[in-house]
Amino acid sequence: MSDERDDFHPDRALDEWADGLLLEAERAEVEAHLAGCARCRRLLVDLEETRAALRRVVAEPPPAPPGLRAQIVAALDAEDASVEAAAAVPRTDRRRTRPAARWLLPLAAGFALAAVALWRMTAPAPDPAAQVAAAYRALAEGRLETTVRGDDPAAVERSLRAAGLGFRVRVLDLGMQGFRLVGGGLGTLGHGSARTFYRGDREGLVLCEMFRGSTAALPPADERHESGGFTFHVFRRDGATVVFWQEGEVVCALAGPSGHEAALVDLAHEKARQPYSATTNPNGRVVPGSSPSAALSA
Amino acid sequence: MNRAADSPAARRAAFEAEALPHAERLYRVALRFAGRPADAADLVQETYLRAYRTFDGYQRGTNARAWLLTILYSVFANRYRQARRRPGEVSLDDVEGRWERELASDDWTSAANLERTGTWGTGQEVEAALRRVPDDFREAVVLVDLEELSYEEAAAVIGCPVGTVRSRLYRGRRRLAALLHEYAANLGYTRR
Repeated sequence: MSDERDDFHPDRALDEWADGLLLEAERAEVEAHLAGCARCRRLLVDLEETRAALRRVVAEPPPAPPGLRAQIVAALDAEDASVEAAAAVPRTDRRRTRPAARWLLPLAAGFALAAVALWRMTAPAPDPAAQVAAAYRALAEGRLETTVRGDDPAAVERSLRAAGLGFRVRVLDLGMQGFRLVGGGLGTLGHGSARTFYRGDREGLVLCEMFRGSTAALPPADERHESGGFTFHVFRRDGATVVFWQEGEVVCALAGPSGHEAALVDLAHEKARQPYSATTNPNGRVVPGSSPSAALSA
Repeated sequence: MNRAADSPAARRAAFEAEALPHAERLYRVALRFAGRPADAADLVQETYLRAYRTFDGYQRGTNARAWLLTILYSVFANRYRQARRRPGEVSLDDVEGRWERELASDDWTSAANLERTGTWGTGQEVEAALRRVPDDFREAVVLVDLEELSYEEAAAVIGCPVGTVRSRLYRGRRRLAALLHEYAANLGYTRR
């Protein structure tokens, strides 16, 4: 040991001394200690080198991605469009006073599509998984706009098809999995996407998003599963799990809470295999508590 | 000041003028907080969306960067922080222990000559070391030493007392010093 004084080293005070934060009396005390303590002089040298290293980091900052501002601007455009859409959506308490809402809705959808077009022009590499995860988060936080409410898949399907997205919108019936349809809306993926929202009795919300496109355009997945001729691309984004798969010309995505990943993948497998005829559920009600959803609540 | 009377286009223009110039610096902070470029980009985008939604509550022309950093920190703390544990953190007590023993040893050699070699202590190496400092401490170092916020500003961003910032900063610098010393030692620049 080279400490000529005692076992106490005023490390914290040394840092403050170097920062020039000490009062004169404290400073004198620290300096007296330094004079007699080799260990603290070394510490001070290493701390000063650390500061010098940090100054070099400030001088040569890591580059930000070139499309960063364009991405932010596109996100703001989408936000503006969704605010417009929210103002235009007919709500029960507005119907009487705002007859204009009926024709504002397609207009708002037009804004949303314009936002998509702008996004596609300005954003270098949009990440669909992050976008679906963001929509799911908005849904979970009650911020996502619902254009259609109801638990009848056929009715929601008709309403979403009316938006003319250029592909055959299919509203999945998750009743057998214990998820009740609560509504649908429009998103901005691909050339415009259809969204449906489901709620498990205890499990919480799940978002399904469909758009025309190809899973080949997705970034590398965190995980992939092959099953029944389908490939499921699993992404973990921002506290959510998103599973993508291809159905003909349509990309489907299911998003739910992370931590229930296996159950969400199971649900996607079930979904992908569901025949189209199953979308017409006569009463629109569901039988809660069947298999994969039980795992979702775990 | 609330400018509810602004037209949406004017509000949008005002927001972009105040907030957009900080995008790159926010990205760097996000990268140092979150570690991965994809997370950093998400974090920045979410920060801007939240800022845009709450723009009416922001006093225009004041400290936009501190305002944005406060939002960024809150998004980061809520979404990313608890979810992760960094593999490198576990052995840090050992790193500090070894450093402490070296400081107390007469074999200790300053790493000061390393800068002159030009092969050590580049920005990238320091960033790598910084990633191995635990979140609490690293955040204080990033905000005060790299973003050059005052202790008071950093405390406002994190939402903690000023004394806590000073304490975390001290511990963060110390860990960084231990890591950098070890880097240097491993590269053969100092005697062990």
